[in-house]
Amino acid sequence: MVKQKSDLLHGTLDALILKTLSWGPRHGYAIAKWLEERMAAAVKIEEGSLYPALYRLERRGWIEPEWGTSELGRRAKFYRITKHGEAELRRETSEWERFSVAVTAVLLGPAEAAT
Amino acid sequence: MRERRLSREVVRLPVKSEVDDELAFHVAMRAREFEARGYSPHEAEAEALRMFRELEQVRAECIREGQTREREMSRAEYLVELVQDFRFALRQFARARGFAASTVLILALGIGCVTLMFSVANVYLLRPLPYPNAERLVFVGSGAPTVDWRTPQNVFSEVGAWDLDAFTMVGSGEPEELLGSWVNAGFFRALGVKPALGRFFTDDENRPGGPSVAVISHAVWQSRFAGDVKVLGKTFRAYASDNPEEAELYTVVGVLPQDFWSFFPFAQVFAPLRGERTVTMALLRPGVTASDASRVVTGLRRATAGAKAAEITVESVQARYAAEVKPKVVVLLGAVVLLLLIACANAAVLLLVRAGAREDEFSTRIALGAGRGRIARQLIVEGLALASAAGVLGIALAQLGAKSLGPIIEARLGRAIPGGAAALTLDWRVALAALAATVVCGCVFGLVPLFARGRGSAESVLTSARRVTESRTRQRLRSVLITGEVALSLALLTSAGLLVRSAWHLLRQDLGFSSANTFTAYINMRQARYPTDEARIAFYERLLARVQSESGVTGATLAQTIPFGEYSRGTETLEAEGQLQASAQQQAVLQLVHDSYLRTMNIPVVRGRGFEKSDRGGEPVALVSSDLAQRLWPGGNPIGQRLRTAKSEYAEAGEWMRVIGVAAPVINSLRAQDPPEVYVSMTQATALLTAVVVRTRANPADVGPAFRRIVSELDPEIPVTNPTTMRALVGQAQANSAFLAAFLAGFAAFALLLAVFGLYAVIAYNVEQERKAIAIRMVVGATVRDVVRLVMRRGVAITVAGLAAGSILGVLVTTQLQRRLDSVQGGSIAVFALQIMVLALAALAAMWVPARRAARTDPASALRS
Repeated sequence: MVKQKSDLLHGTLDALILKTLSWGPRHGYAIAKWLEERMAAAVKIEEGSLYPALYRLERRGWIEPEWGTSELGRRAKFYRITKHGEAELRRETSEWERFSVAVTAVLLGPAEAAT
Repeated sequence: MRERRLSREVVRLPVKSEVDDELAFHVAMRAREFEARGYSPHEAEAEALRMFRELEQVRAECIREGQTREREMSRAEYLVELVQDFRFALRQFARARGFAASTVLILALGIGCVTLMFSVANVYLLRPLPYPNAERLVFVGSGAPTVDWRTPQNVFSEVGAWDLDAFTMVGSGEPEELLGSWVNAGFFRALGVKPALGRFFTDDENRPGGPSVAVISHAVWQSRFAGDVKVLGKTFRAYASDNPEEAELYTVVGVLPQDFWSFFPFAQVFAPLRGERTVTMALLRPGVTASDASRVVTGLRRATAGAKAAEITVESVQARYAAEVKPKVVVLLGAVVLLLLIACANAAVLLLVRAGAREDEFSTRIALGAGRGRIARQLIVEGLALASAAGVLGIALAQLGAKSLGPIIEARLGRAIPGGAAALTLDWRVALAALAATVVCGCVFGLVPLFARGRGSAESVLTSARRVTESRTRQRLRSVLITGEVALSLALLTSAGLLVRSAWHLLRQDLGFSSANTFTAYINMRQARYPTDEARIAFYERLLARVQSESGVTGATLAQTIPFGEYSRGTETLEAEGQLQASAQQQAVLQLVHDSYLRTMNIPVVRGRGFEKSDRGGEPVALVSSDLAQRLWPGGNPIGQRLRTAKSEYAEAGEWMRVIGVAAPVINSLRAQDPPEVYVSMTQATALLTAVVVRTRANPADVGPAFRRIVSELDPEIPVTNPTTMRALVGQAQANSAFLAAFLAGFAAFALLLAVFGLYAVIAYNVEQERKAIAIRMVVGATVRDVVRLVMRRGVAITVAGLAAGSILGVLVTTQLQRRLDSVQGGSIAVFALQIMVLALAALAAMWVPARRAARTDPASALRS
């Protein structure tokens, strides 16, 4: 059951990362913290899947890295969403919207029909 | 875009350390979080790591993704850069239009010539003849027995035999002579062609007394039958030379397709052979080679004719058809390949000179961070862009050349293009050759800049320390290229000189007769109407009398064959009476002539006398040409001697003829060996097909209509064919022999021009580069003469080296040409020396101009710049 949940998330993880970055450049840890705070109640984003996802997004040209200085005073890799990434985010958001409406309709449908 | 890439190139770390740094940072941040919650530092880090679960796996995955990205990136970048390079190259060319245009033009001419000549070679030598089984079609040499070879020996699946003939169509309108053939039924089966209408012949029709049926060509169908679709079953009346007794009524049974191409011109009318004929052509059974077939049929012959019977040759129709053309085509192809090499060297030199002039630009780019590889690639891209532009233009030029020069080349080579003139087009083989030529050029360009990257470096610009002299490699490369160019030019010049000299010799020789103001045509009398010598002689006399009565005509005569005429008689072996030594037998042309022939042709009788009326009915007499007299009776008096045609495989010995005179020798053709002649009077032996020669004070071409009128008044069924002037006949033959020489001379002139141009470009460039050095020398007292000498020294060295290498090449080329072309005589040292002189002088002139300019340099302004 847990696995299924994580699979579903795996597809939307990209969209979540892009959304996170749409407010400005952040490093991997900040992305993880931000998502944790928002999603803690629903799901746990694993570090193990976050970083490969970042590299994948970078490869696709949706995000691009830049080096900055972190809170620790260390050199840290910041990610910035690209034009392509923003377009992708819009596409995935609307897709998610359609998906969730459909799923909601199915899951909650009978109850509505009963009323 | 550029800036960003630049910064990443500088800052970007290798993927592995990037991943490690990033993950370490994450772990450190996480650990700090745990520490804040009260974990010990050690526990905090362990906890942070645990959150990754399989850290190694995550790390590997990140690295894999990162590396894939880098690979994709660099590939995309390469393409982007290539496009940039290409655009930059175009901008460069736009800025240096003269350079780009001359390079492309020179190369395009080279590629165009190679492509054109290759398409000629392709159509004659490579492409199969336009028959379905062309590769199995063979000619069978003489001596083949007239048996059906198909079944027992299993080497041929079809055999073809033919008898060439002229068919005179009579009936409606003027008589028209059509070239035709009597063929067996296997002829068309062997060729594998299908009729456009009707049918070809059956085996049953090939018998004595067979039906008078005919297959006509598409053109005859159009002209004689107006393309009537119901032509089958229609008839026409025609005389055939093989059956000249009377005109026969032929029924049309078939029409050949429009695109039918015959390897002999006797293809306007076909009729079935009436009986057995020697097999001349055959279709090999699949899997049987020509040499197998030759062995089998020779064995067959030897079984009946004895073991000493000569071998029967079996030879591919294609090879035989092209045999005469091949050496010329090979020579032309060789010449254009040389030309292409010269053009390549020339364009490379221009490119090098330009690369030198762009040294500053490269240094600047290097200083701005461009890699050396990037610069080299830029140069290669530029070279390839030039080469491909030249390739496209060259192919267009070749297409144009095929259209305009194709018919000339075809006429001069003396063999019809297989499949017709339209076959001389761009097919895949030609396209491949053109591509190959372009790639060769492209490679030269690709390699030259690699060799000559020079020492352009960031420092040289940053310190603005311009070198007074430039890279040795590039200098040397340029010299080598020019040397090669001079050498190749000399080789081409040598071969052109050789051919021009041979052609000149042929054209300048005394023909032995006067071709001025003479009209000539052939008439063909019918045996049925002129069955006896008396009847024919009476017609000759009536005809000549009528022609001579025309105004302006100063002489008229008849001969069975005339020099340079359409029909020629082969040579015969003549033997002198009472002579036993080897000289007793000589090859000569037996010329059957009217008594007035020598006089009308202006052929002098140098000894004895010409034919006279009193010779008629007496002892057979003959005149011999002086060269034959010299060979048959060396040092002796030929007058009063007797000679006859010797006994041969085909004929008995002729009658003895007494020599009454010696005529000056005559050139009958421009072939390598022109045989001597023996003149026999037409009162001794008559001919039905004879040439008429009319000498006039007026334009000889105007005689034609009057002549036709006279002939048709005397006998409306005698066709007049091949009307032309003697001048035109001779001119045609001369043009054919001079063709190769003219082409090679053109190529050589182009090569010479290129070599001189290249030399000029290099010297001029050197002068430009060494302006300062020259100025310094002038300041310290060098005279104009010193400067000229200094500038020209290197050019002279290049030229001398080129001429030396070219002399060796020239000797090689000369021997090759002599081996391949029988009309080529030995090279002459004087001509060779002249060619070297021409090249040397042209080279000196090319150097002199920039040297003078250098000497006129104002030292003050040169040093200040």
